[in-house]
Parts: sequence; structure tokens; C-alpha cells
Amino acid sequence: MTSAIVASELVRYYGDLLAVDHVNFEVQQGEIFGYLGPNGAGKTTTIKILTGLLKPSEGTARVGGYDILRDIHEIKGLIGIVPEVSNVYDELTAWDNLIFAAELYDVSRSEREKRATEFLGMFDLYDRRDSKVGGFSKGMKRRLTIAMALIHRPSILFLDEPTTGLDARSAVFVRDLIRSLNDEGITVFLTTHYIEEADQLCDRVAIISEGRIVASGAPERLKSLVLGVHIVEVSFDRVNGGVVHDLEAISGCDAVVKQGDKFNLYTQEPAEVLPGLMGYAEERALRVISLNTLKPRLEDVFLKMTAPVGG
Amino acid sequence: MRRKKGLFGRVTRELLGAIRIAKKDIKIYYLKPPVIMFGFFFPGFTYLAFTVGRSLEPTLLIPGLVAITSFFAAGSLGPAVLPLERKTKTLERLLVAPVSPFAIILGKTLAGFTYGFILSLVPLLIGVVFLGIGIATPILFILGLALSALTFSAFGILFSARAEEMPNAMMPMNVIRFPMLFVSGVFVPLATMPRYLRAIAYLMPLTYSVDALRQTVLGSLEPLMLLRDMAALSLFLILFLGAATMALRRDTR
Repeated sequence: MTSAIVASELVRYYGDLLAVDHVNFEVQQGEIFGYLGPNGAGKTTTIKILTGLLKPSEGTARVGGYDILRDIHEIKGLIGIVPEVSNVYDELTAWDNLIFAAELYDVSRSEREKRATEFLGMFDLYDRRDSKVGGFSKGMKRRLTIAMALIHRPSILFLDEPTTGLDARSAVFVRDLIRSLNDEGITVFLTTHYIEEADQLCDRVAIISEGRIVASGAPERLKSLVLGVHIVEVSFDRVNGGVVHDLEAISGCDAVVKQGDKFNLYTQEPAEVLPGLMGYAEERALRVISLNTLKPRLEDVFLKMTAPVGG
Repeated sequence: MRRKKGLFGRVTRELLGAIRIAKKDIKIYYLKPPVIMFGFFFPGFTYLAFTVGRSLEPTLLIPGLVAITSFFAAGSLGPAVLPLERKTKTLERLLVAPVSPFAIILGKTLAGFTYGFILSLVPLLIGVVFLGIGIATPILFILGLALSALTFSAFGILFSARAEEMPNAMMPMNVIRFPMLFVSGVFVPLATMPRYLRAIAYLMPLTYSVDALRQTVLGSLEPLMLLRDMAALSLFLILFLGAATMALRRDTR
């Protein structure tokens, strides 16, 4: 299998700030590659470098076989970009936005109109094709942005936080779309905050923290990095203040994370934690509503890998 | 995507890209309030303020008014377009597309040029229809007007190429635009100005535009002077386009 993207020792400074620190990765043709990291980790900077919006301070990358420093013009024709902000023209109609995007990529006149019609239908925007985009919802603008990124039929698609801020229905639409585009052979480079999204969608992921890649591989392989860590998930009939602190004091418990009405206790020894947990419930007259032991999730890998030093 | 090979293909592609960007800008920005305000009302009122009550010959008055209209109208599009495109991130859309920064700048310049050129025809028509002025060399007049509108549009684009907000482009531009208005021979003949002001006037593109348009209306053609005006305007145009392209390139550094 050939590589769609190869990043080699990419470095990017903003003044004195090191935003991307000797990043290396390879994305195979036809795969969905997830690029995960907390805010400010260097995800968007990496995408900007790969798409020609920024130059690396050091290192280079190849996209679609072309070098980003020498052949960026060739690369631009091969890639589609969905930035974090839906950058559509509010004053133009959905139709005009798509036609302009096609014109920018020199799509022939007959193809432009054919594809615009096809994409408006595919993205459920056909009925609003003559409406100005300023009146569209966030989800509709997102769909239009993705349609505009696809109008020239790119072979590599970059998506920067594609579902952030979308309602559940729109987010599901976008995720299904990413899968079907990938089925058609498009390579997808995706950044996301939503770890579950990456877990569901990506063939491989790289986790970036403070500009450096701290882990990469298939989601299941990454989860094995935190094997040995067990999670005991518990919920009580009522929640008092200071529960997290109290649970952390249970023998064998390494950390506690509150998730909604549940508490996740991280431990190496679940057998040691369980009696302590029951004792705590009895002592406080709390009724245990649910109790589960969970396998490590990609989120746990992410939290472990991106934890601040000493944190 | 169609790929035309070779230098001719590249030039055609860039030019087409610029025209498509101009077409889009024309659709979006022509009716924006700052464009109408600074491009349409402002030159008209400024001119009236300085000419009412003065007995100026229509053949001197109209070319001056045409030049001012072109100057303000063509230059107003840049500050209304580029900062907004930067803010809404649509500029990134252009920068990641297979068109060069020069084509982007040229496209925006063409949008301003079209606006400036068309609006300048309004005072010209008033002069021809109501004041009965004739244009001695119409083709040279149109050529001079077109070159002026292009140069003034590129002037506005240059001031907007790095701006994040419209006032950041408009304010510094106006600091130069207004003095330029008074020293470029529109209201006060260059010959009556002190030597140092005249020296400044010859550093301003508007001076050459006013002179070229007057010469072509009056028919008092001095070929060398007209050539000088056209050459100076062309030089300013190249300078503004080049500097604006370099400024835009900084976005991708």
C-alpha cells in the first residue's frame, strides 16, 4: 500500500513557541487517520502545514507523493479541506457557493453544474439551493463546507474537528458521510476532540500533546497500552459533595473521574477496590445503582498520554 | 480538475482564477454599506463641497470629478473585502485553492476596478449630457480611466492585504488619500503650487490620472506627457500589485 501523507520531522515555531515538535507519521492511501490531541496541541498547525497554509520551520512532508515545499500547487489540486470554522460565503446562495468552489478548482462548466446538483441532493440541501447561506443552521453550513471541499473530487480529505458544535443528528450525518467517502477510496485525515468518534471511525490514530506525537497506531493496539489498568464504574442513588475525594482514598484506587452520575475508579487491582467501595457505600448509607468493570477505552489512552508531567 | 500544461496553461489558469474571484467579490461586496458610502456618496459630496460657487470650466471640472470618483470607488472595495474575508476564514479557502496569491490579489483588484470604472462613468455622463462637454480622444480617455481605476483599486487592496478589521485598512489609507486629493491638481492647478508641494504631487498616482484624463478631454495632447502619465500609472499599478501579493504571501509563511 502506498502512502498518501508522510510527515518527516515537522517542526513549527510561532515566535519562540514550539507548536509542532519533530512530528513524524505516515497515512496510508485509503485509510481514515485520526489526529487526536487537547486544545493547543498542534493539530490545526499540522493540518495547515500539510495543506500549504503554513510553512514548516524545519522538516517536510509529502502529500499524494508531492513535496509540500516544492510542489504545493500540485498538492492543492489533490486535496479537499474542511477547516474547523465553516468558511462559506454567507451572502451567496448554496448553489453559488458550490459553483464558486468548483470554479476555484477549475472544474469544467458542465461538470460544475452536474456536481453541484448531485452534492446538494447528497447533502440534503437541494431544497435550499437558492437561499443565502447566512440563514443556514450550523449543521447545514457544515454540510455545505464539506460539499465544497469535495466538489473537485479530491483523493485526500482533511477534516479539522468536523463535528464540533453540531447537534447529534448532524454529527451522525457527518460521521456516516466520512465512512462512505472512505469506502469510495478517499483517504481521510481527521482531527477531533471526540475520542469515541476517532475510536469508531479511524483505522489508525496518532495522539499529539504539546506538539509531539506521544502514541500512534490502531485504536485497539493503543488500548493495549493501558492494559493492566482496570476501571470500576459505579453509580449511587444520590451524590454528596466530596465523593471523588472519598473514593480516591479507597485502598488500591489510583484515580477517580466523575462522568455524569457515574464514577470511574482506575485501579490495577479491582479485587482490592471492590470491598472498599462497598464498605464506603454502607458507611454513607448509599445504595449502589450500577456497578461495572470496563475495558480501557481510547479515551483512557488519550488521558494517560496527554496528562501533564507530574499530573 | 483540468490541468493545462506549460506557461500558457498556467497564465490562463491564473487569469481565469482571478476573474472568478472578481466575479464572486462583485456579487458579494458591491452593495456593502462602506463600499457605497466611500465609493459613491463620498466623492460626489467632496467634489461639490470644493466646486460649488467657483467658476470652473466643465472641461476641467468633469475629468477631475471622474478621477476622484474612480479614486475613491475603486479603492473602497479592498478595505470592505479583505479584512472580512480574513475574519470569516474565507480567505483561507482561496489560499488553499490551486490559485496563486497573485491571482487572488489580481481578482480583488479587478473587482474594485470594475466598480470604480462603472461609477466613474456617472460624472462623465453628467458632463456629456447636461454640461455638453465633448471628449477629444475618447479611446485614450477610456484607456486612461481604465488604468486609473486599476491602479486605485490595487492601492486599496494593498492597504487591506494585512488588515484584520476594516478600520485598520481604511484609516491609514485615508490618511494618505485625503492629502493626495488636495495636492494632485484636482482643485488647485499644479502650476500655482509651491515647488515642494508639486514634488509631493508627482509621487501620487492621482496626479497622473487627473492629468491624463484632462489631456484626453481637452484634446491639448502632448504625447510625451500623456505617455509619462500612463507609464507612471502602470508603474504604480505594478508596485501596488507586487507589494499586496507579498503582503498576502505572509499569510502562508
